Amino acid sequence: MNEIYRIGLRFGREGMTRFNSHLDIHRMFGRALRRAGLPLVYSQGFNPHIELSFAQALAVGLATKGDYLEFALTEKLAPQAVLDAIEMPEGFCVTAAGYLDKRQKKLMAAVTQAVYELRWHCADCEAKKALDSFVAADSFIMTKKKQGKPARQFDARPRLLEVKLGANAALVRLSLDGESSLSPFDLLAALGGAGEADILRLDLMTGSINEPSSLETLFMQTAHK
Amino acid sequence: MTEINIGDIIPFSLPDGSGGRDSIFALPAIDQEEFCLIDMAALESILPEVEKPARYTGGELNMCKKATDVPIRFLFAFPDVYEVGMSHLGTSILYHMTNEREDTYAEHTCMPFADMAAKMCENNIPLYSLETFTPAAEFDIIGVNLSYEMCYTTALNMLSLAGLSMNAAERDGLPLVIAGGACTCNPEPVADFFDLFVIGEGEEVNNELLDLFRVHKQRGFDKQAFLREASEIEGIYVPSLYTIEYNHDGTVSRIDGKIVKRRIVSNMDTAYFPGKIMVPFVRPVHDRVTLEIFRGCSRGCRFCQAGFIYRPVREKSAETLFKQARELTRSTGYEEMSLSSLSSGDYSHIDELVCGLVNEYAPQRISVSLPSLRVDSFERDYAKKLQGAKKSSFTFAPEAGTQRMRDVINKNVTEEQIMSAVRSAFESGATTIKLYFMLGLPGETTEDVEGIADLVKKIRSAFYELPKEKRRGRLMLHVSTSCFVPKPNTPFQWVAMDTADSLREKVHYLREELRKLSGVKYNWHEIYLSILEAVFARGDRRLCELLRRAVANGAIFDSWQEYFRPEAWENAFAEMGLDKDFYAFRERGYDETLPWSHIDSQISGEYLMRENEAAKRAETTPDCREACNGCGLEGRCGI
Repeated sequence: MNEIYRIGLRFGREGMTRFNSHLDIHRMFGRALRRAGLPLVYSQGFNPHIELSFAQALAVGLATKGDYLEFALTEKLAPQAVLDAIEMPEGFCVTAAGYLDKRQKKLMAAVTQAVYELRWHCADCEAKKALDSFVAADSFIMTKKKQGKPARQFDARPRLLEVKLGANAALVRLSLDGESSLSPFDLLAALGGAGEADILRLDLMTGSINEPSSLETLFMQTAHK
Repeated sequence: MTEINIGDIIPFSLPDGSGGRDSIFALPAIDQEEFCLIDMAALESILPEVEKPARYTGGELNMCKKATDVPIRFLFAFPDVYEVGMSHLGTSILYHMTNEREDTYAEHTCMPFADMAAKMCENNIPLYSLETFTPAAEFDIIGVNLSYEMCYTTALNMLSLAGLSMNAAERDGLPLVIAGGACTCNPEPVADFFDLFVIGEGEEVNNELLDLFRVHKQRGFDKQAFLREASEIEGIYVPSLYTIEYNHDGTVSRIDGKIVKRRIVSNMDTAYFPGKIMVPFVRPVHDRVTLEIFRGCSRGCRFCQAGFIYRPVREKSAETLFKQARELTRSTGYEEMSLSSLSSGDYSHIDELVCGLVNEYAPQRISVSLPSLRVDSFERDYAKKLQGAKKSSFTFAPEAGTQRMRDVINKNVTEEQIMSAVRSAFESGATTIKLYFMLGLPGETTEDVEGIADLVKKIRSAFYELPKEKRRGRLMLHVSTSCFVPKPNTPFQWVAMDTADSLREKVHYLREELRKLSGVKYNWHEIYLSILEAVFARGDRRLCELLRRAVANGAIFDSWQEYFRPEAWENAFAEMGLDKDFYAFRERGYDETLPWSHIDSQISGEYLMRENEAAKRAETTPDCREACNGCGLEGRCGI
């Protein structure tokens, strides 16, 4: 079996592209990589496809400047060359590329947290005030409804790991660890302010709660745009 | 529980300002404020609440970006949902062709689905373009594709959503609302709604029309003056310039106005074909490169409108196709390419083309598919090359169950050919087969309907006759029947459609017959919808009022089962006291002035009559490739 090289990309999206679904983006990236003419590794079988794996699914409506995906190449090109070859539809941007260690677990499995910027639409909106009391409280019970499943209650307070409050915006670090994840949309809705802020994912983080680091730190020979 | 350490770990700073954010990537972003005329904040607030919001946000790869201060702004408005509209090859060709013009910016939009349309109305957002979010009513020209009769109510709803009057006579000045597409071979049922129709292929005439439009706009647009002059262009039909008179029995007595000749592009190698096409984010119905290999069809199946109205046969050279395939795969990144035509197996260099494409694109993992393959071309080399080992599902269209019926419709396929195609499909490992038939064909007898059930049974037996070790799973036969709808410009344009009761009986019979067979699933097309299609296919101008009323009663997206409202239509017929029988179930005499008599498809009427008479005698007519049948396009055809 020939050697293959795992490579990761950091990307973002803004504007109207945030309304594309995760599946749409998956297809879009596959095609962008094909257009780039990269020596891609395809799956075996009758319908060979590029094995793209995203660190996190992107919720419809979420803008980001820190999302990640990985795939594999059959030749070890310079990350800068990979970065330069990829052309994205407007509104998307690939900002970094770097190789991943063979023993590194999938980015998907490495993610533990995410950092979001909530930019308030008005200075004195309800959610902004509610966030203050959320931070001060010991527990905050939220109800989560999933399609076809009974509503489930959970304490959201431990899932809010860190907050920075500013006049116009807040930064929040939220747990993104399987069952104990907290979506910024759900948070905003629970605070009574669905739609009161623009939400931007700033980065995905790996590592423990107290010592998180950007997923990009897992890249090697990183090139930036 | 973790303590909150405000400001220690997150290596990000809070933004200074509030409100509108600059591009987070410092890219040269479009300055939307400059030309964005709909309320973007309102749009962004409703998008999270609708299904598949990316249908409404544009930004597709290869979408055209241009300055908006051009002399002509054109909007391609497709009267169906985004997934259908973005799969339409004709619109795609004309969109990119129009954008080749420096003086024109062509944009695109489709009809929002009900959830979005309702929210748009609530928020005062009109129909808008997906490039610049400009309201449709701000455009100079709105071009609507009419490819199927049952999109008419959707087209009219689209005009309402744009804030425009449906009736052309009530629209002053701009935008001009024009239409093209297959249905324009009888534009009469929608004549009141469009300022003009483009009859036939648009690659040449659209540019002639835009040239004229530009001159008129520069000198101060006078709609009547423009329409009068536009009607001088070959292929442009301005319905308001015609008067139609009727006999006491309701048939047309006189059409006052000149004949409009269908436009035909003569050379497909030099005709415009885009080197790049839009790649939607939301998966369209056809999510692949569509390579048109030829226009027209030489088979002459008598029920098939496309087989006549796209004549003559004009092929692209293999060289042109290889070049277009290369450009399109490079500019899109698509993983599949499909060769499109009415009967791809008939392409003169099909072996060379398919083998060449498969060899060139297999290393890039791009698959090549041939969707419209007849059973008689199934065993050729190229077909085997395409099938490889992976295909588990095949589609065959015998259309009728008995040889007599297939001869009546001139399908020119024998039962042996069908059976041998099916057998080799099973032998290659296929377990799923789709079979298409039509019910209500002219002269259909009980025997012919029984013949469908018999053929299904024979095909089913062919699977079980295969040694057990050769079968790769369970058999799944999907049998579908549609109702035959007589269409203009076909040999059956004079015949009566089969009645609802008779069709219902035939469906019932097949349902009972096929229900007994394991592994067979039977689907049938909605009968009432087919009757409406028949009414409009051969209707006249008086149906415009029926459409207005149906739309007022809530008809929209008729071809979508979940939106189809028969009662909206029934009420409209009742309100008008209009007789469906007259339009759908009545046989026309050869001497009757058909409502589309002034639209010249360039297919000879005598040829169509000869074919209709041959059908009555169950006589077949050979493929044009074997002998010229004198359809009226002799000498202009590529055979």
